Amino acid sequence: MKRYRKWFLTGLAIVTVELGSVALLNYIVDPYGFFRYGTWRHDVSHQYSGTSKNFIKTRYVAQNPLKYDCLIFGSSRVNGLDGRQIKDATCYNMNYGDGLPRNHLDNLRYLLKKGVRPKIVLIGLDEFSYKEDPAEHFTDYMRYPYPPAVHQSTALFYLKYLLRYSWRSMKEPLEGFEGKRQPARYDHYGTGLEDGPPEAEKIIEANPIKYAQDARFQEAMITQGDRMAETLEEIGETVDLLKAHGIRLIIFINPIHKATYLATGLEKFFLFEKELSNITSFYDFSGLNSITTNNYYYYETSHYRRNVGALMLARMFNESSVKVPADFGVLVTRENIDQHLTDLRTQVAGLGSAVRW
Amino acid sequence: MNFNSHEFIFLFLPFTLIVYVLLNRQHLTVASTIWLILCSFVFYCWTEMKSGVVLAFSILFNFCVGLVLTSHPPSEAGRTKRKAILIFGIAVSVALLGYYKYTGFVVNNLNQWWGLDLPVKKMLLPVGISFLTFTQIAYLVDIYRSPAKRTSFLNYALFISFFPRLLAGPVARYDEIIPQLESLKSKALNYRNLSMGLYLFAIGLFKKVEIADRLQDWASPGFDGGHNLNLLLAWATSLCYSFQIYFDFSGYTDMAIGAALFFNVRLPINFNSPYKALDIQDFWRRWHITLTRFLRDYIYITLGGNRVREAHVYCNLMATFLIGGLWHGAGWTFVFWGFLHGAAIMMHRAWKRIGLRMPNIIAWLVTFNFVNVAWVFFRAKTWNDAIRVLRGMAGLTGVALPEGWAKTFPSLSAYGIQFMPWKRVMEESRDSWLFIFGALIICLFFKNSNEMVERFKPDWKSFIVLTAGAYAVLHMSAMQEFVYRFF
Repeated sequence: MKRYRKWFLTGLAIVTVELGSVALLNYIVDPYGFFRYGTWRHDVSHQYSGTSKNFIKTRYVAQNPLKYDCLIFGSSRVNGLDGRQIKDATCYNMNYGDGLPRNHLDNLRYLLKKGVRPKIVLIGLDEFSYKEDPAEHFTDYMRYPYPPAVHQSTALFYLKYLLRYSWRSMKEPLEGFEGKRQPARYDHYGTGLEDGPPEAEKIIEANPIKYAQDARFQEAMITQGDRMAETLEEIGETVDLLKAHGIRLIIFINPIHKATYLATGLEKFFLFEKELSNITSFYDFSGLNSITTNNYYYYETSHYRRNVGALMLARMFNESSVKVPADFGVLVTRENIDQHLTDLRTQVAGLGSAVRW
Repeated sequence: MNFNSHEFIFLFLPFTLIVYVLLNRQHLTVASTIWLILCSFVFYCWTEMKSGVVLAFSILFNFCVGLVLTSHPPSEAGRTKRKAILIFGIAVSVALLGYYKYTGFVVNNLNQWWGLDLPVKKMLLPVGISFLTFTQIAYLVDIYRSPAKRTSFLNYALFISFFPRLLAGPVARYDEIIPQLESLKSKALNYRNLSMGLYLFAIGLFKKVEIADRLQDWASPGFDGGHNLNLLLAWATSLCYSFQIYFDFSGYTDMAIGAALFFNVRLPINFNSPYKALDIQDFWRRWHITLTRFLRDYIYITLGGNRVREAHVYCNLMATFLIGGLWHGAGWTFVFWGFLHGAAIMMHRAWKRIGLRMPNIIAWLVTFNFVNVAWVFFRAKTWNDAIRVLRGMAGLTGVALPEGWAKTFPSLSAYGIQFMPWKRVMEESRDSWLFIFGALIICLFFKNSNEMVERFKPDWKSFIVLTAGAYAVLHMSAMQEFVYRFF
């Protein structure tokens, strides 16, 4: 029996060392930035790969409930909205990759419970908002919700995070440590925004015509799935929740790049708009307008630039000092939805097979 | 809770074991039994509280039926009464299973066949209810046959709810487990069992995470993707699933047996290298052994077994496998899977009676390929999916070969065979064949986990297995459910 005792205890020690080493490596490299918060690891200037924004931002706002009175929710596209432009408000941009209405609802419920009391909440929707399954975010550290917001244990989450090994997620941070990569420019503990490399903007402005002809603008972003009923229900719950707390809610549909818009399956998209208008009024920046048809305003066929965000905020907050193109941004209500959809159909009427219905 | 989860491995299992050992050290054996029952309920209710109510009711009800059965003497006079009580007990258990598992199936079929418009109520399916029902039926039948086997409520509750085998078996019999639970020896800390349990758990975890879950990534797109599959891709899809379900379920069983050993309970083995089988009867002696045993002892033999005339025997065989198919899932594809195996067993019986034989290699090929094709119906969510995969396997939806072969077999183009880059032939499943061959070699030429644990020695070589298990822990993030958890 002694031999077995020795073997068992030695075995446990070997496993502990093996797993402990990986946990230590994960803690130091921290590829998703969960531990870059607190005292000595506060800043994210050493973050060389994408952070888990959904988790980090929700945690940050919950722990600073009085710091912001305006929250902007949405997918990474919403990073184009700089909340500092909104007058008389201290805004935080909660955007993260593939942010979905289910996540916004969970996060809002949690934040309100933690004493966060925004005056204004903006929620950006996309053509994939009613397609993608939020359950998939639970298998992706980049999008994983902040555990308390979905009634899970944070300690257990950290345990899982530390006891994992993925070369793919280690590669970029390790390249950063070697000096081969520039750190990402996150402002998680300020505006919530992420700035792209400054060279990217310089390249666009240096030759906008050449830039607009780049091949990347031919590739539409295509997403699959159908969660329309659930998504509409979640949006309805969000509307009711914020109404009950006396918070002003502005919902908008992002300016979807022409290529992605035409490939999304427009019948479903129009149906989504119609159903959405029965729940709440919203600003629609999609459709074929002077912004969405001009590649200059986009980084690729998904993300629009900050100058577009400025126009959107000006439209939604009636900022007269900014000149917004007349065809950009329509306030859609239950009353004008049919006319609006007719207009959208007219825009694509002559495009034939270029449109995916 | 799943065995392949951090909460189970790092929190639940160690905590449950430590408290159990401490209670037994203080000679608080009743308290330790209650502790294990409580922990088993926590394990069961981890994701769904309501399931615990079903489990509690089921335990209480069947124990009471057992009590009533034993209180009636097995004399001639009491026989009818006892039989009625047994039938009542079984009927309630089956009704409970039917209500939760088959209501939707029945209503859908009524709507489809009779043109009705009955509402299909979405209801919670308590995990492992099929295993639970079979275990309790076996207990009632055993008590009916041998009333002396009665036990205390606590031991019975632990026998049914014991967490290592609660969700997906093995379908243990009363007399295999209860004496172990009643024995004081099982209450002492036993490092031999701890070592063997840890060793087996590591094997199971590795099989599940590093083999089954990877195979699933290639099997699922083929089955669920809805698109036509070329010959190689279709075969890769079906073979990946055949190996996935084996490594998944046998991995689960290894973890169950390993976890039970921590508490000095030896569960019966469930797999014995099934893909080495040379005929279909042999396959069922090696695959899900405890379920086969249940079907044989409590259904096939009850129907008359092979003590009836030959034609009747064939009917009994088919009925047993149809029930087995339906037990696995509420769907016609499962029934058809049972039918295929029933038909194969009947053919095998006829073949044996005629006295025909075939070389082992051909016997293995026939058996393995039959099992592989039958799994297509088991896995496919719809008939159309099954037919689509089978059409691909028959080459009816195109044959594509790697372009490198075009020089060697140029004449094949004349038969409509396309040559294209391997990446296009296999789509996202480029590496699947490597895994398929690897899995086949493991199944055919390596010792299975039962044999490994029988030969277990506490030496440095055994640490390799532990290290492999720890390696699997590092890949548990994208946690996949066990296939049999849903049956």
